[in-house]
Amino acid sequence: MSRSTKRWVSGIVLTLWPLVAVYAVKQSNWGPILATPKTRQLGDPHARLVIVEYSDFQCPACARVQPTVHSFLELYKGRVRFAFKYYPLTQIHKNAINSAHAAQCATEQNQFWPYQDRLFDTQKQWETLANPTTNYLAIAQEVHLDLDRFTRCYEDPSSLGPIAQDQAEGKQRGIYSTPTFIIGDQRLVGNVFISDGARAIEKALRK
Amino acid sequence: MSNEQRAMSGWTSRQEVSTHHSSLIAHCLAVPARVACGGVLIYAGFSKVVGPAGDFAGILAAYRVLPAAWVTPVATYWPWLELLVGSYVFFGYFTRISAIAAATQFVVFSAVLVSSIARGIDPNSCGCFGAGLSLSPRHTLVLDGALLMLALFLTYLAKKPLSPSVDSWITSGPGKP
Repeated sequence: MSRSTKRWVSGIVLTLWPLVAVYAVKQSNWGPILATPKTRQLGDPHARLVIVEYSDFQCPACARVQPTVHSFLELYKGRVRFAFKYYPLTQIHKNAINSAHAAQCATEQNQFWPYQDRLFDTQKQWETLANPTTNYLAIAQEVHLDLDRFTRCYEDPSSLGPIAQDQAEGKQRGIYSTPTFIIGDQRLVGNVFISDGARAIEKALRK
Repeated sequence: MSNEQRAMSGWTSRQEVSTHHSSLIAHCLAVPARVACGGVLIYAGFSKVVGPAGDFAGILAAYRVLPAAWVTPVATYWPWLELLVGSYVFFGYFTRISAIAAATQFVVFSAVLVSSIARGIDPNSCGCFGAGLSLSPRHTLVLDGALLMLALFLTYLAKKPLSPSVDSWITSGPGKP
């Protein structure tokens, strides 16, 4: 083999192997969705498109986008799956972590979605409280949770584990604000989801 | 002393041995330098390319070093450049040129990090490794400095093809130039 041929062959191989490797990894089902329990997912479990939201229950913008999230899930029924990730902004929201903790206790009783909806609906009532436990218990009662089990979970710091795990993952992914939506390979931060979410979903579904 | 006398006295053979030793040391040092520089670039590029494109764009926008219109194209193509240069350095293909390209990338990364730290922009993670390794901008700056030194060292060493490498395979054997 001449040197020129060797040079060309090497160049092609060394340029193509990263493309092949990236394609292989993208085809596999690796990604943040694997770390999200089914109880914090909505929509068709076999849907090709996964929308991941990093959210904070005390964040006003996160509350504002909730109706849009639900309307998109209805609009794209069977085509999208939605996964919720805790991302409490503890530096600016004093009740961010305890509201996430309460939601996690509802998750353990498979009632994450009704609980999170009520947390967002009543956000203004508990966001400034020094101790919002009574409000969280009231919501637990509304969504028919086992209150003893809920209380035990809420008093147990080990149930904060999934929240810390989501936070660490979010930090690694450079999440700096809530709500942050990952739609396929696009990222929408804040209220932009309301105006541009549908376009981003359509674009991702076309791929 | 003439060359003939030097040859007779054995002086030349000592020089040859010394040259051979230097060459052996260069070969031994080049491999770890290539693995470190190329490996880090491959890992950094790969972890960004396989993750959502918006992730890196978000971090790049947060550094506020590029005009808004440039953020998405740079976030899309830069990780591929890292991957390509990393691949060439790692396997020793056009080693000298690819080491210069790697050094240039480390200079760019360091400049962005120094500029962001000086302006008080200090995100939790530098975003250099996508969803993979999470390093603070300050730690990344130290890593980039070390890798820049290695890339420059490799540029110096790779004046001739160093084995084992793709370059040495290309130049070996009876093939035509």
